[in-house]
Amino acid sequence: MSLDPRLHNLRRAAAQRRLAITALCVPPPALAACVLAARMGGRYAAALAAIVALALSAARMWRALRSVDATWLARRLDAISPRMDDSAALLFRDDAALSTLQRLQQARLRTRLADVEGALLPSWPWRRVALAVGAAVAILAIAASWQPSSRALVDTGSSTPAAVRSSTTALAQVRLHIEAPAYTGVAARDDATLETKAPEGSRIQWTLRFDASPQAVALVFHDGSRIALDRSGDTWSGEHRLIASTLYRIVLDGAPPLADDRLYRLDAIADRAPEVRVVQPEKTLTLLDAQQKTWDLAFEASDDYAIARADLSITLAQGTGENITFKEQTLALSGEPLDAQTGMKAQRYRHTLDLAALGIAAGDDVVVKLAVSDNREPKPNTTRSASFILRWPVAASSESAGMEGIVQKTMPAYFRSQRQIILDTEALIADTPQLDEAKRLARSDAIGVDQKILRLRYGQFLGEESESHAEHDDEHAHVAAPAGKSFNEALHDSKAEAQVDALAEAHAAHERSTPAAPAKFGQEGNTVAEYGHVHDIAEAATLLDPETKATLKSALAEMWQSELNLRQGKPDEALPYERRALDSIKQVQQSTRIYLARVGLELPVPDEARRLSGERKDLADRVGTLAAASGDAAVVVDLWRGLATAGTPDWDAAEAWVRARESTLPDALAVLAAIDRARRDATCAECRVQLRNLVWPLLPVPATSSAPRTAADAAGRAYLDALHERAVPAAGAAR
Amino acid sequence: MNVALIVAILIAAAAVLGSLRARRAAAGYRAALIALQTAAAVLLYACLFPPLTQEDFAAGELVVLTPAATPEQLAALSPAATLVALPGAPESRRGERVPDLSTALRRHPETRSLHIVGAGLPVRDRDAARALVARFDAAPLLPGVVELEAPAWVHAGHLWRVAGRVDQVAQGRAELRDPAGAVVAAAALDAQGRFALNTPAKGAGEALFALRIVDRNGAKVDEVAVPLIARAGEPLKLLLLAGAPDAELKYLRRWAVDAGVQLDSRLSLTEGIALTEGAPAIDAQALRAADVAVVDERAWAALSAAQKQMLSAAVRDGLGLLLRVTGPLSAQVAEEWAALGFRTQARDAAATVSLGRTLALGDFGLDFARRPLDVEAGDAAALLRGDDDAALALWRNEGGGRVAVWWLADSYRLALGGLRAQYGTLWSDALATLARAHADAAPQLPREARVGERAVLCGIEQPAFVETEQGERVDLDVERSAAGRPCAGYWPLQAGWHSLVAAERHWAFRVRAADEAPALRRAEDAAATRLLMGASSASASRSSRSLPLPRWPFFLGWLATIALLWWLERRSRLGTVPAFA
Repeated sequence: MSLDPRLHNLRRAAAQRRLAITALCVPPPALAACVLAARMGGRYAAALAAIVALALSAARMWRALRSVDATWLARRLDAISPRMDDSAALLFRDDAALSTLQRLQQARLRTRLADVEGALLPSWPWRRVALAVGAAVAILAIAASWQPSSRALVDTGSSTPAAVRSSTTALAQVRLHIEAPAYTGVAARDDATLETKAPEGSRIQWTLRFDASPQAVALVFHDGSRIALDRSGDTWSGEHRLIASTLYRIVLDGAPPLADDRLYRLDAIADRAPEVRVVQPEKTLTLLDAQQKTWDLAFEASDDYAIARADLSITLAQGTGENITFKEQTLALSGEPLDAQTGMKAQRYRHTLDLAALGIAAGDDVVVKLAVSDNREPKPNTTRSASFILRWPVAASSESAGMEGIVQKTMPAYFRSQRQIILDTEALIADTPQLDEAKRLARSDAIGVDQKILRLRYGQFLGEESESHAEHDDEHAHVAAPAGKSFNEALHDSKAEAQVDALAEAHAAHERSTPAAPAKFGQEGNTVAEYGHVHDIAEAATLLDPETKATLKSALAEMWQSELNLRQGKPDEALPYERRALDSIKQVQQSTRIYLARVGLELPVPDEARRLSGERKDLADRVGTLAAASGDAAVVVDLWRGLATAGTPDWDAAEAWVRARESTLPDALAVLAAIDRARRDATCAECRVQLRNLVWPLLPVPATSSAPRTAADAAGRAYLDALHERAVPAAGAAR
Repeated sequence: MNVALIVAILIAAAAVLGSLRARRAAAGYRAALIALQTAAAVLLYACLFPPLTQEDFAAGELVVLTPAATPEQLAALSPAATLVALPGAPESRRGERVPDLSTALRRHPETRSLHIVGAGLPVRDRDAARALVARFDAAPLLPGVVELEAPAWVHAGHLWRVAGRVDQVAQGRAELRDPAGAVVAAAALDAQGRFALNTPAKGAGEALFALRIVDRNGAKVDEVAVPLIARAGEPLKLLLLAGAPDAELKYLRRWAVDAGVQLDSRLSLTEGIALTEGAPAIDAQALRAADVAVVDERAWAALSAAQKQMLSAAVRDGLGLLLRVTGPLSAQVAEEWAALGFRTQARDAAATVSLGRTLALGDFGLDFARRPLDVEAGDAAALLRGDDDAALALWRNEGGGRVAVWWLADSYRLALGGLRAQYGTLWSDALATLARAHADAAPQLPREARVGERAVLCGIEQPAFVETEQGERVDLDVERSAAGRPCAGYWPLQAGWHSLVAAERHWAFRVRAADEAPALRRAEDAAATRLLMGASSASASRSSRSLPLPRWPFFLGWLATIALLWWLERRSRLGTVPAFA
């Protein structure tokens, strides 16, 4: 027969109660002992104490559990209830081995068992529990009052974070959402750090959570700007557009400062301008050969994000001498990717110029230049390639050897212009019947303007007034400045009365024209040109010999008359004057020229006897002209020296110095961050060393300092004296 | 009767007994058993008392094993040699461990010479080994910097030159990195592994540079910290007299003013009119105050006889005088300068000189001109030499002062070429050589101090202490040596910057950690040990010594014999049992 199930239940309940009692009495003092050990002996002692305490507690509980067996239960039943008749042991006996009397008694006990069930459990030993807790409290009190010895001090360093935690706030969660500008094509990303690098113009969004609950959180940037973060629940968020690299700090309001309260760095990666490489042509100047019909161009461009457009500007320069006309056109090229991976980042451009369509002729230049822009917003970066020239070489001129060629090439431009005026006038006269009055007058006036410009050009050589200010320069300013140097040097002739009248008239005309339109705002600087005028140019007045000058003056007089008639719309009357002007100019062209010999500088030999015997009044010494170079780096030198000692450098001055040079220093932000770090933590030797190393490149190299030599000691002096004494008699003897 | 004999008799007796017992064994086994018994007895005796051999060794020579001794070196040693191992020497069964060489010498008083094997003697043992080292069997050097030559300190703004040699790095490069980690100078190693780098020192203070050696692939081979200690100079008082302004004077005056030199200059422009700075005057008082006077031949010719006398007297009294040659010397000037000790002789043509090596110009291809002049002076030393070793300036002692002649025409090219530091260094050194001697002697600080090694600081007076980087103070006990030099010993316990504080001035020096720059350390030890070697005169006489043979072969042989014997006895016993039954 098996045991009564109630006995099993009783046993289990009793065992659990004893376990609970042990659990209440043993661990508190053990735990307290561990704390004391940690306080007295440090980490290792605490670990040892914990192991011992754990083993002890486990043993006690094991014993408590195991001691509740049948014997214990029987004794307990006998003890708590007299009705068990001291025979509770019978309950645990197998009835088969029992005598009849015993079996009877067993049956009686079973019925009585129900009465004792509740009282069987051991009562809570409150006194023992109180004693245990009291002991634990006492041990903790000893631990609290324990003065750590010098040896233990070393260990407190490791336990400080626990202490510090209460006086600082820690970041529980950091998330930086970085959205690069759309044009870069860089995917948005999340960082779990406070420092990051992002393309310039990125939007950075902070999401922060703290283990304390501050009232307000702000990001303070090193340039003084501030972003207050918004709260939602216990997370704080805010955003900033990254224009330039910057430093920032998280400032909490209503909570202890952050544990790592340094400046964090955001680096802006600038969008670089595209790079252009010209593959073809290989040289800047290409000479066209006769059969060439096209000109092949090839360019390669690359950019850090993408290339938006490429414009090819083609300039055709036609003509020679002063008669050069330019024709410009711009073509948008479409490129193909350099290879599959690069996509829009690297492009190749090809273009074939059709020279015939361009209208190139001998002596003409075609100039091409590629401008590549990237897709930066709002303002794209543009890079222009160098200019590449295709030249159709003109047949070598027979006159081009030496000086003469240059002169003759330059001069015909003027005569052609005068001749052109004649041709234009003749054409106008021929067209007159077909034209109405207004149109005829306009064309005649236009020719008159040409005539005036030509007259002014020649007038310059005579030292005439130059009316080059804006007054009439509204149209037809295509005549290039002549090379005045090609004219003979000559003396000014005061007798050239032929043109006195004309000059007087021109003067008067100028005087009349001066009170013209009132000056616009900001053009007051032009006062001299407005109210005064230059009557001649001294340098130009002596260019020509008297004969040439007289001829040229007569040509000018004819031009005056021609212009007068043209302006009045009488081209037929102007024509004779024009022809006479042309004749005079031709005479000037054919007049002989004088060339000056090139000679070296030959200064006269100074006469030593007369030298330095001149007037010397008011001459005096120049005294004290040198000033020592003053660097502006004294602040940073002081900082560098100060960091080597235990003293406190002038942080404010140093910071101001770096800030003032933020744009020129190579890595000013790193220096600023290091200054801030060293300043905040005066005990951090490593921060000071780091700052000192960062400051090193900023130190100027001073002028090499000088030093006197070391004074000789007694032996050295004696040696020198002996040398001297030997030398002096020897010299005496030699004499 | 000695132990060996008793043992021999006992063993012999046992062998005889054994042989007698073997008589009862089966006939087939008997002879074998007796033979084995005898062999076992002999081997046992040989194991207990190994036979002796004669080994040659050098009498009176103590072999000292030092760190990094290689196994090959150990194997090459004579087994009979007296061997001691210093701390750090590799493990070896032979040789007695000693804490230092002095202890070893005390234990071996018969030592007359030392044979050093390995890296070399550490600083601690060098004094003990003086005049004893006869042979040095050096261990191979480590790849890296094995020689390092850098001045203990430089003046602010001076050119700072770091030179040295690298071992076992072919086609490598040496890079000098500033405290910020930027390479300020780099040079390829030459065929011998030598390099020389230079950079201008900045203002007064200490900075730690790093000398990095990279191999041909750019991988770092070795890195040695090189301290740069710059000291502020002391401004000189310079008197400058010139007959006419020239380019040299322009840059010399500019340097002088920037460097804080107290400049009194007078550059004649025309008769009675000059370009002056300060208050140039040639009288006894001004010359007494000045440290150095720079006079060219035109200004010299313009001086009156009394002024020349005064100048010469001032030189004898301590003034430095630099005579600049800016053109042909007149006969009178030449004669007067000959009286100052320099005989000059005009030469045909000016010559070009190169100063690339002297001034460490590297590949700046600057050429300089020297005046067409030969200067002769019996007792003069060179103030400046060109790369061809020809002097460009000479100086000699004249009484308490010094006088020099300078005929380099255009050192201003340095300044024009942007080499301000080189220009300043050239002139600062020249003037410092000549200037009146009135500076206090700076203490001599250890160049390569290491943790745990005795460092010697000399030229200090008693209240002096060393301050470590952590602010600890160690008072020094200054003693005068026999030669009268006041020195103090110091055992650094921490690596890093130290500061000697004496007479209220701070003098910085740096202490290397014990394990810093191992290649340099080993090379230093080897070099110092080699230096000790020359002094030894005792030639060790060869002699031989009887040494016991090793025991273990005998023991193994004995064990094998005994095992065989046991097996045979067992076989023979088993074989006989059925016969009794």
